[in-house]
Amino acid sequence: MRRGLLLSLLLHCTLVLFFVFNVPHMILPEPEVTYMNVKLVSSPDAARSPKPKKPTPVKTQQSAAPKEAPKPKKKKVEAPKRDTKVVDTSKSKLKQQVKKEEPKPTKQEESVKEEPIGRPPKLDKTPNKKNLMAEQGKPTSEPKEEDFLQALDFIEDIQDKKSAMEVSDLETEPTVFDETQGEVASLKRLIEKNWYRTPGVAGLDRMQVVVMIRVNRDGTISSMDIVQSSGRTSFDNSILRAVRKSVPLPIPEGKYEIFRTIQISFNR
Amino acid sequence: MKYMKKLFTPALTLSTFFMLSVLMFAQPAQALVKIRLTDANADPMPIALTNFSGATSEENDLGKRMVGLISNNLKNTGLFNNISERAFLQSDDSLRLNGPIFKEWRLINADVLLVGTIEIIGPETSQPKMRVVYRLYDVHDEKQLAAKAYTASLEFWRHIGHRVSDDIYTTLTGEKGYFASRIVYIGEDAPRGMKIVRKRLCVMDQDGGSQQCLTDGKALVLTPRFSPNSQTIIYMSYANGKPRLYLLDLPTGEQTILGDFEGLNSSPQFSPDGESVAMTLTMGHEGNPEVYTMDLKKRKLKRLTTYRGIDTSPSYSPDGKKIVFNSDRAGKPALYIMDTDGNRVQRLTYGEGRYYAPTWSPRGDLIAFVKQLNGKFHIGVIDPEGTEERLLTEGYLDESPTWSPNGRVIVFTRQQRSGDTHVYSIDLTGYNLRRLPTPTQASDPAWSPLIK
Amino acid sequence: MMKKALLTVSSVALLAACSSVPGNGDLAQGTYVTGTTTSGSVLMPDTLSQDPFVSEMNDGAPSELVDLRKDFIRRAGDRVHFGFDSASLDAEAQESLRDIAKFIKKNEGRVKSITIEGHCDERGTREYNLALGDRRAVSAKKYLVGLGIDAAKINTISYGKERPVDPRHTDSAWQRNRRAVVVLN
Repeated sequence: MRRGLLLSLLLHCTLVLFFVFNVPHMILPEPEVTYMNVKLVSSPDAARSPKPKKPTPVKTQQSAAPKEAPKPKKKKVEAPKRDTKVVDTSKSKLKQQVKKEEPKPTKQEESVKEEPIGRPPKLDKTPNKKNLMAEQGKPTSEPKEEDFLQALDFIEDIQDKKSAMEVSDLETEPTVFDETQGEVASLKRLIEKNWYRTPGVAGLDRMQVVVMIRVNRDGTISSMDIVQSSGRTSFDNSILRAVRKSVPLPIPEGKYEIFRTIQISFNR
Repeated sequence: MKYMKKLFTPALTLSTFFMLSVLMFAQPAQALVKIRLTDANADPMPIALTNFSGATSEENDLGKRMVGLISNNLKNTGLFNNISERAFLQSDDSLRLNGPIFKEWRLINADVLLVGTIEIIGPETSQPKMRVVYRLYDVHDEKQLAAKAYTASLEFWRHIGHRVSDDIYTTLTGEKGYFASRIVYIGEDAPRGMKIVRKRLCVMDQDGGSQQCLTDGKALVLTPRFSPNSQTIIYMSYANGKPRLYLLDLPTGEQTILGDFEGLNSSPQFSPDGESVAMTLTMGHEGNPEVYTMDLKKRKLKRLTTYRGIDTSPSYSPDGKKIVFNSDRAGKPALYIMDTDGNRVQRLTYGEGRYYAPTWSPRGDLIAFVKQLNGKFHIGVIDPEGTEERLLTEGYLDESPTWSPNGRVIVFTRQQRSGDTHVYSIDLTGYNLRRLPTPTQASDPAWSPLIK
Repeated sequence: MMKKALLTVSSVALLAACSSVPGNGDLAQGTYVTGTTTSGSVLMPDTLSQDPFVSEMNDGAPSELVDLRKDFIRRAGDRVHFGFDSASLDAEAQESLRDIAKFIKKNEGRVKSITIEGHCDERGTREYNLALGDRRAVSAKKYLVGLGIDAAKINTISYGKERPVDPRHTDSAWQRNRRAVVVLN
């Protein structure tokens, strides 16, 4: 009696599993999947990037960091905005821009941090200590140096929010293609060739970055988001730059559906 | 019971199957390509530095010199590949009128682009000033990475150039810069008619610019070091026939003796707050050099070590809580760490060979040292826990390591077997060995903190 | 067979190389008067039998004192040598110091005070060698005091590796440079 129940349960399970794995092939003929060596990494955790093993102790040198806001900020790739430029007859275009920007310091792109320079230590004895320029720093959207000191709080914040973001990004658990596939490996090599990372940079072994890319059919980028920031703008930027430099991304013939979403990550 | 089950089982099967199939049809399997980056391009990063432009030939000339200085700084790090000006597609005029045409910079493979302007304010006045505006662009993102305007007296154009270099370095590497800094060293030469090599106290910008010697060479001078505010140099001199320590105030040029302590006075080093000096004295215990500290305000001495052999070369940790020093108490010279009150002495190095001249990194994570092993001398680094040691150089006689303000580069003295002695620099990665340009032979370098 | 022959040849070559290292015999020949190098802290002296620092010190000193010093060097020798990274006095050094003490006692009226300089070879760092030079000078001083010389009359000074008497970079040069020199005032 009890054995019968168990047996029927087992049978049902087998049936269900059979359908789960085979029905899609029968019903949805996806040519890509058939010739590629599909590797199913089924654990939902695997789709997420690894969590930090332990809170990293605050080292003083870690402080050079993100100008990005604490929230993961969307970094959309856009077409160049400056299409036409009016020819400026004044002697310096750049200076013009600086002046124009003053009332609108929120526009980070064009802002310039003003820095009057005092006299650096001199070795001769000329009395010149009062040579500081009177010009005051103008409003600017560039962060002050002190802001960098809060870098580590930012990391915490980003990690809290990133998993939610990633789930919403992909509604179902995706089929993962990784570097065991030749085409993915060659894309990885291309991006790595274009990636200039400062060798021996302090704290490299603690850095974790995850970037999600949506790709257009022609290999250009439709969007690129930092899902997890390293906490260092310069480091995040280096990865984004490497990806942009690799455009058009080499999408293998007929496999656009697979290569449409790419996750780039770095962690030691 | 039996019926229940008979009814229930097929119902379950059917419903499960139905639900699953609906899911399958509604949502085709999504694909995700995952790339985990491991290696990066080991070559230096390609950057394009364009001359800062002005309205007059004087401004253009200054702009060119400034970018030359910036270019030299960045190239010397070994991290950047400055694309030759001859390869540039967009002309200076076009840049000025149209701003950067990023496509043209991508074509020559640049990753980032530096553009700037320079204006001389009041060139006819006695104290002309300049205003320098620079912008650093990501060529691929077509976005500004950094921009600043500096205004200063014209005579400080080198300092401004170093500040801009530091900005660029920090923006691209995420590390603090080190270009706006100076190096004090001992210049060695032998003018005609002198039997003994002349040693003078000299200073220069970190790139070898603004060379200046501060003593006349009549007295033997050794081991200079900067104070944390870069305004004072402490050094050892035999000026009065005895080895004593002197403080040289740079703005006034005034020299004062630290103290006329009996016996040997050597190995001076400022504490990170600049309020104390650590040094080696023999005092009333001649033949037994010990580490002392002196509070500069109260002028009070404190003896930290008591071993009867050699204790010397103290160097503070950047938090000012510990001192690493050199001692032969274990039979051969090794490195030890103690609290600044002399307590809790712990041996740091147990390796083969002989260790000398420890210097704590301003970053705090490493201690540089000299190691003598199998007839060679090395500059090495070790973490303060003593777990991992790394040798960066090997030479006939490499010594006196000193750290760049950001703890990334080490400058040291290298004496060749021929006797030729110069100051060299090496990156913490062990690459990019480079001789610093000095007008004479040079030894005993000490790097200043970053000059604001 | 062949290997053995090669081995013999190479060991002969090795011996030859050893003997070609200039010993004391070469020193008086004045082969280093090139003047082109500023190696170490010493310009090349005409002959290394003369300590350039002693001759520099004698410049401008009263002739009486110069004579006394010359006499001292001739009769007693003015220096003792040390082993690598050592400040201890071997039998030879102790004997030299006994001669030095004898001379000083004999000329007590003419010797106002004594300075003992401690020196090192170049195979160490500047700061460590300054400390080591101090130990060498004091080690010689203590021995002289033990032989009855008044401690109050003796000053010590360390020059570390700053004043090599032999500017070459060989074992024999290093050996000559590891020294304590007694200077009469």
